[in-house]
Amino acid sequence: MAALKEIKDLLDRAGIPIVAIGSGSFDQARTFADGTEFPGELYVSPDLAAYSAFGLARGRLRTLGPQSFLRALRALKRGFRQGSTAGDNWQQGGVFLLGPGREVFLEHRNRFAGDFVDKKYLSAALEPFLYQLK
Amino acid sequence: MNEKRTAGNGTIIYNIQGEKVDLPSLWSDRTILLVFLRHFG
Repeated sequence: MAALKEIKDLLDRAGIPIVAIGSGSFDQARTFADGTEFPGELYVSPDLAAYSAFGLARGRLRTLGPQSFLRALRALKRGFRQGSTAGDNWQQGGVFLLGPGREVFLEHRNRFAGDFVDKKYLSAALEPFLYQLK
Repeated sequence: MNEKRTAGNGTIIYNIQGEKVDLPSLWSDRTILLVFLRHFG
């Protein structure tokens, strides 16, 4: 969430909306949207079908393994505190810049918890959209 | 990169009101940053 809020300004300038999909229930999604003032559209894939369609990883070790632990430690050092969560504990996330139609400009599949897309990589993918607006 | 391929055809997701949405319709006529959350929270 914090990472999304960091890049929101860049996305706004590029005219690109954030569309998020979560794995929990509708109630959990609504609570999340209300509590975080989520800066985009929010959808739910309770059966994880959307995650499967994009080939996203799922597994206990991907959430609880040493790489995830190190990323969590790093986040703690930066002052980030994870509150309670809702959704499938073992499902990993991902980020895709895509559309219209079949265009895909960026794809990142988290290998483990905390394996977020590199902000520099995302900024580079957005650059052509910013350039078009000049 | 700018690849061309299809993803998510026939996959149904739901908006937070519980209404069905065809997954590819999210980006059929626009560019979006599609974020798969690991969890809500």
